[in-house]
Amino acid sequence: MSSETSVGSKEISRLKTLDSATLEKIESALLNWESVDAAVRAPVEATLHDSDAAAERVMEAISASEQLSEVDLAIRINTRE
Amino acid sequence: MPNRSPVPVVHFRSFANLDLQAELGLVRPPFSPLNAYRQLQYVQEYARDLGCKSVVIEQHYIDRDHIEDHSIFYSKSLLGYPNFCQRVHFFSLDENELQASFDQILCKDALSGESVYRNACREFSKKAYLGFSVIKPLHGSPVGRTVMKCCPEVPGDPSKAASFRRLFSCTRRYVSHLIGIELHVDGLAFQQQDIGVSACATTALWSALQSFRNHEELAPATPAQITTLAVRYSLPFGRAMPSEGLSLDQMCQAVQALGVSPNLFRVQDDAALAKSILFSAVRSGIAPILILTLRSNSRHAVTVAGIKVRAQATGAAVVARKADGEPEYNLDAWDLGDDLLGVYVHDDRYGPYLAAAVIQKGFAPSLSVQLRGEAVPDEWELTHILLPMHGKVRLSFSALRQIALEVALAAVACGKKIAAVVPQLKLEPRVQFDVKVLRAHKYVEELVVGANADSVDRARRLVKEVAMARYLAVIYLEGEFFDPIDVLIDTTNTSRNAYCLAVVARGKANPLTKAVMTYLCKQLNCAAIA
Repeated sequence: MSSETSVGSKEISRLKTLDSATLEKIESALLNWESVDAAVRAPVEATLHDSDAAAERVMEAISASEQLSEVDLAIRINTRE
Repeated sequence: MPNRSPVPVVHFRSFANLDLQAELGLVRPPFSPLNAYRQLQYVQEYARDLGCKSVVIEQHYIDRDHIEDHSIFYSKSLLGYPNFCQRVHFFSLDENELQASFDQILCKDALSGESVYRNACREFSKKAYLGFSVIKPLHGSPVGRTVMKCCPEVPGDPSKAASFRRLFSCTRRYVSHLIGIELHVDGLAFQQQDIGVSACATTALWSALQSFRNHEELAPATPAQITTLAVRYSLPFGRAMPSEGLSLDQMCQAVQALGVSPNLFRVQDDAALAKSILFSAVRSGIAPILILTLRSNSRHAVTVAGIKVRAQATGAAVVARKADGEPEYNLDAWDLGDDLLGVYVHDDRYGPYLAAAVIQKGFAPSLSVQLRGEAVPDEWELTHILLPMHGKVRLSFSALRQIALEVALAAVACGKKIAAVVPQLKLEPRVQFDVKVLRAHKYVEELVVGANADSVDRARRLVKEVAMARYLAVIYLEGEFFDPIDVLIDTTNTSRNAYCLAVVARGKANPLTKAVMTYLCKQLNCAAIA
């Protein structure tokens, strides 16, 4: 996609009003996630755990596309008009 | 006593009511099919759709592909086939306007110097040249190298323009010369199979390899050369010529022998993956070869010249499935490859740029093709995709999709963390992603050409701070909580040792972009170009 692809403009205008203290809080939390209150972290980590497990299954399915057998390679392509 | 060289006879003809078959002197051989001129008719109808008003026919044209096929195969027939072809050029001007334009270029513009002449040729081609078709002296299979202009990106019909776009990223610029005029056309070369030196597998490879020359210097391979290279080490189906078709293995052998790397994927059970690979490959300028199963159960190969995509990018959530295929978990990573609606293929049985919708039957991908004159669409199952890639691109599109998904999920995790820390923001942590492979200098040009000062500054910093591979994988990320971001991956490594080169911002309107970039750079251990 090009850089011109539209992003949520409403979202941007809402986020533009973020004050510097909130931005600082976000940046600090992202860099030192372990220091964030455990009660805040726990639900996020639970969803990330589920998401990681699901992603693992998706990755396996993608990998299967490259596991070709001799049967695949022997396919004869010869359609005539 | 030496013969005189042939006289280059050129005819101007009106397109209306043109009997092209008769004009070219084609006579169907007794045992060839009744529809032997289906491809020729298709090319003529396609030219009509583009607004063709006149044609110019060169009666003596030496075509590289035909002369090679002639040398290897047809020169040994009892019937003395000529070694030259005819060539038909299609124009959107009528004969008088065409003659006047040629006179203007040759008698006025050319006299003002080379740059004026070249500009005039370029402008004329843009305005009026629709492409050309080489007509071989094989009366049962005459359509040789044919390059026609593509349909416009934005459909002329406003209702269609609101729903889709056409992207012909696998095309290249072809230059032809006609009575002193240099003509240009952007397209992808097509030709029909002759069952002599080529069947569908060879012609599909031939078209795809034409497109590869956009990326790297590669001597153009003729159908005869491709078939010869394909059968060099294995002949499972008997003789090489007349061509009885090729196996997938032989197709890969031919690609490899030409110095290109064959990337093969089985996609018959995964329509989402098929769409994602096609979307990424075509946007990378790589022409995929599709292996299809037809209703007759025979296997066929076609080449993708372009794709049809949704006008508004939306994508679809990547879904994890149970063993029985039922959806189990929707990830917040949305694959933009789902915006692929259809493909434009070169099918040597019909013609160039055949429009086919990509549909899903269960989990299997199929192409639905509405053929001219047929009441019901034909459906072809898509089983495999073959991509001719540069050998230095070690990461396949399948591996890249996995990496892109991991990167998108890292951005999703970032969004979820921000939403948890500042819940009043009510952030939607969904992230759309897509991946393409580009020559590094092309990516830098993308940042610079027609861009703003910030983007130029990013390009400067990127070339100064990051050593780049010949080919970059560019993972595009977009979400509501940050400006679009590109994550650059070194393609010269394997998936086990893949490295991220840089994270590049594509805007700075969103105040959270910096935080997201910092987070990603920490996760991916790479430079930030903000």
